[in-house]
Amino acid sequence: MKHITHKWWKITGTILIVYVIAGGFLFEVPNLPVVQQSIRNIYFHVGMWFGMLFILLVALGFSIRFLLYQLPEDDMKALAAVRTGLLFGALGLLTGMVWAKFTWGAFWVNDPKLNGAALGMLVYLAYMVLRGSVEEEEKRGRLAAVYNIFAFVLFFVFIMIIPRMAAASIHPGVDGNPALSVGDLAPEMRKVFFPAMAGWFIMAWWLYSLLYRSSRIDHRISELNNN
Amino acid sequence: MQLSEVRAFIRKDLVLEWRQRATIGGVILYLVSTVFVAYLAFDGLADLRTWNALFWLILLFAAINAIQKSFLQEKESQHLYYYTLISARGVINAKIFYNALLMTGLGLAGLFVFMMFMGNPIASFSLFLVNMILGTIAFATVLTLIAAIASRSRNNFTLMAILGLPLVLPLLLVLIRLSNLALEGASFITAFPDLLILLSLICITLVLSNLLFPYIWKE
Amino acid sequence: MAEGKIIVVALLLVIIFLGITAFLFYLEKRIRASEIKLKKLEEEKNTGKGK
Repeated sequence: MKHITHKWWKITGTILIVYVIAGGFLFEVPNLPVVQQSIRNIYFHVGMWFGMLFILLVALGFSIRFLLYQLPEDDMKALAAVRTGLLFGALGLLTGMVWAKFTWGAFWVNDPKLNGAALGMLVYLAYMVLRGSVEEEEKRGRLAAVYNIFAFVLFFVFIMIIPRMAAASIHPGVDGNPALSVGDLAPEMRKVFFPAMAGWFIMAWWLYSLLYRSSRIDHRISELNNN
Repeated sequence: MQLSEVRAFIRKDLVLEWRQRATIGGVILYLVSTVFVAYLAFDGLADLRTWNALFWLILLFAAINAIQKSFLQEKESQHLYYYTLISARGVINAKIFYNALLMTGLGLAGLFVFMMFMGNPIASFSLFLVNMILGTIAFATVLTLIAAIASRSRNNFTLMAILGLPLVLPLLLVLIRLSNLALEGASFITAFPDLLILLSLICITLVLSNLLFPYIWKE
Repeated sequence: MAEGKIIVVALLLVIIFLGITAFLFYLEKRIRASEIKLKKLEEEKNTGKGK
């Protein structure tokens, strides 16, 4: 329980994001054609996607561990991580849509990367529906973990393979990764970009831990009442 | 897992299917009537790409319908009985094999019906056929595990579609692309990278099904 | 004049963000309080069983 008494990393995260907001809006950025100043969105939009992928990877890890050891805590952790991932995914979609409206003229364009992102959201919403339709706790955990692993692998295959296969994608980022390659980033933007990624990872982890702890409290209360 | 038990289990499923001819008849009728409805709704279909997308969509929904029942037509007590007889891996492999067989049959039937209504627009028929057989097998491998998950939950009928559709979507896109190539008369060599993707998808889902199914099966 | 306005926007966003983190810290505090309380309750229950 050490992490409860140690607030420092949460404060670090807060400071990082405050810096990112200030720097992201005020620092100079190269003025590119089409995107122009909207390139600043990169600190937020890409942060959301990396945060989502990171926290979904955490969920995958806990789902695998749940299947191996059957500890109810691991199932709760996986659920909390997926919920955080859904929030980050939704925000990623929103920031992306605003950006798309500005640069491509529409909130949604038929592009393999955008479709991959929407698909990921559908998969994890389906995960939530699956959890909602099984009563017994242990069985729910098992089925959800199995689906999570299966779905994550297929989702990952999708966002890696399909954009490469498609004729062209207007979304930046070469290797099918629904983000950018960091090497393309202008040097003056890196001093905001990297803190932004770190800050969003911390925020994701913080949200995840709060969700997990509150669901564990619920669990313990119901256990106290039952015994 | 032994090959003999898998074989016996597949034979059991085949016999069961034969005894309940009405269900398989139902799926085929579903296929025929959706094709007919599409034919009427689109007033014949001149566009090749629309034809192709429609063909795969209809096949996908037929697949969901057909595979859904692979864990539902038997009672829980029967599952318990199998549990004592045969390993979990045996069950899932037998089911996947059986569903692949069923789906290939359905795919061929669907193609036949389609061509009856709309003629034969396919320039490179052999590529289309290979793609279709691989595609129906891939449908079977992805959807069998989903059917197993859905069968263990309460509202399993809607759940099958909710869980399965986003996961077969990547597959569907590869398939539509490949058969578009076939429609335009591409050779096997140009289609090779996509065929490889399809094969690796089948392999990935097969491995995952084998790894994960034991956790669903035990009760 | 128009240049200066972006500072206002950034400031506003920082304030909103700080509000969110303040809320998170508040949640953290409440969660910790309930965790401690629960622990006590569970211990009471366990010693009660021991008798």
